[in-house]
Amino acid sequence: MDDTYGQLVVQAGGPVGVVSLRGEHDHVSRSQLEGIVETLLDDVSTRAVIIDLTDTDFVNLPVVGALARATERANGRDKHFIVVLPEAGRSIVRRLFELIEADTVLRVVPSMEDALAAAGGGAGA
Amino acid sequence: MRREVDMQLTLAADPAELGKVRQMVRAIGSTLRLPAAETNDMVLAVDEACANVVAHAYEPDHPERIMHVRAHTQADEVVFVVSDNGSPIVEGKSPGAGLGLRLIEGLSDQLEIEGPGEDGTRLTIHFSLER
Repeated sequence: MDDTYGQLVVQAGGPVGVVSLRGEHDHVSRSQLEGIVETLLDDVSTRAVIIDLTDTDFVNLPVVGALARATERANGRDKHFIVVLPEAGRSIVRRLFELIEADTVLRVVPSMEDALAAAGGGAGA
Repeated sequence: MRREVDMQLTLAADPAELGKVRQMVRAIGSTLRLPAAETNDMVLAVDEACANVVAHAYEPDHPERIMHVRAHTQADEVVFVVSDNGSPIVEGKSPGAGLGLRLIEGLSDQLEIEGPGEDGTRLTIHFSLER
């Protein structure tokens, strides 16, 4: 069978770190995602972390759980943690987010522009 | 006339196998010519059932950590049976397991949970083909 697992693409080094999840993500990549996010949040120069789900084909509950825990850690450090999920994005990801009401525990915005605007308007700005 | 399916996978209860399960479900959706939204619900539900097995069914030192996934059509529905030989998936045992079972219930038309018993736990997930 084809390898359907995804990639984590990280843009770091500035006040806003961006982690793009491409392809499918579940338990296999969750720990790697958690490590990357923790590293970004530990960086004193990081003001915000943005998780970009624009090119994400699948996530499951453990991944959403990891994002929720990261949100709590970011809040505790007075940093922004923002998830980008376009309204025209992958329907299976949006379906999961709607069913579990993920927007009640995650800050979800529809575009990277919105995320960057949100990241610049608060803590550390 | 709608096609019929009857497939079974036996896999290690390992996170790396979840992608194979999703591929199997997508193949069934394609075979049955289901709308993408219906296939997506099946993918999410069956992945979650298998993820529960991976995360909660077996003690780390269990000698045979396996899961079975069977899919078959019957009457006007497609039925997925996810089973294991491990310890129970009990509501309240883990917040993750409880949320996962509620998610499966929300995605499917009917969910049956059998066990735990000597043969482990079995989740039977029904999806109507006349949605």
